[in-house]
Amino acid sequence: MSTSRLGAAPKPASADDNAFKTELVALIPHLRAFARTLTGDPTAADDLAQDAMMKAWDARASYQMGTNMKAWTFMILRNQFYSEKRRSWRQSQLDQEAAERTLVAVDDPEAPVALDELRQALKTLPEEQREALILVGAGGFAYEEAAEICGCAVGTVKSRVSRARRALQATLEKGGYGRDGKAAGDAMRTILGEADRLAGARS
Amino acid sequence: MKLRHMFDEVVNEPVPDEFLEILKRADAKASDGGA
Repeated sequence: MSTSRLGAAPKPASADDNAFKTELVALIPHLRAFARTLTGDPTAADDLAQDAMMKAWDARASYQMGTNMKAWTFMILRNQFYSEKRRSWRQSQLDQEAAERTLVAVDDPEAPVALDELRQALKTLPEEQREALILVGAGGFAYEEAAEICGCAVGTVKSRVSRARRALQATLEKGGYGRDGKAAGDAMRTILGEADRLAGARS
Repeated sequence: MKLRHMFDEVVNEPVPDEFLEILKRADAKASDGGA
């Protein structure tokens, strides 16, 4: 960027920048959701989503408007996640505490407890299977798009999704996800308590 | 479908103001020629 405009009026954002920003803002909720599934932790997920959002912003010149920004930003987020994980394995390791924090992210107090079991069961899947299943089964991506995001072959994604579905079904049927032994009512009270705490922190 | 529901729960959460503030700051910086 030239420094010759020092002292001049701020340069107005270009139409491209504005269009890019509008599209990026619309994708923030999806980036947060994808990050949540990768990290299992709402706070770490938002940090990750913010990092990905800023990387996308900084790289906006390389993005071609009209192409698939959702897939592009998901790929950035995924790469960021694994890059950070390599740097600090312990920090991003999924542990029981992270799983607990994932549960308290439920805003809807009427959400069925079955969803909590699903969240727990998802933790038992290998990461590459979990991300493939989330991208295709929840993120609305085609196998081809998911393959591009994950940097692997379409057949590999299909295989991972298939194995993930089978493993998830088997885990849910036999209850092999790590339950904490508390009654569902206790879990819901914990969720509501944490939701109140979070609501207080935001206000 | 449960998987979709789980994902959509987060999608439907209000986006924390922090996200838009960070982007706004970056946009202002770019407009100032700092990017």
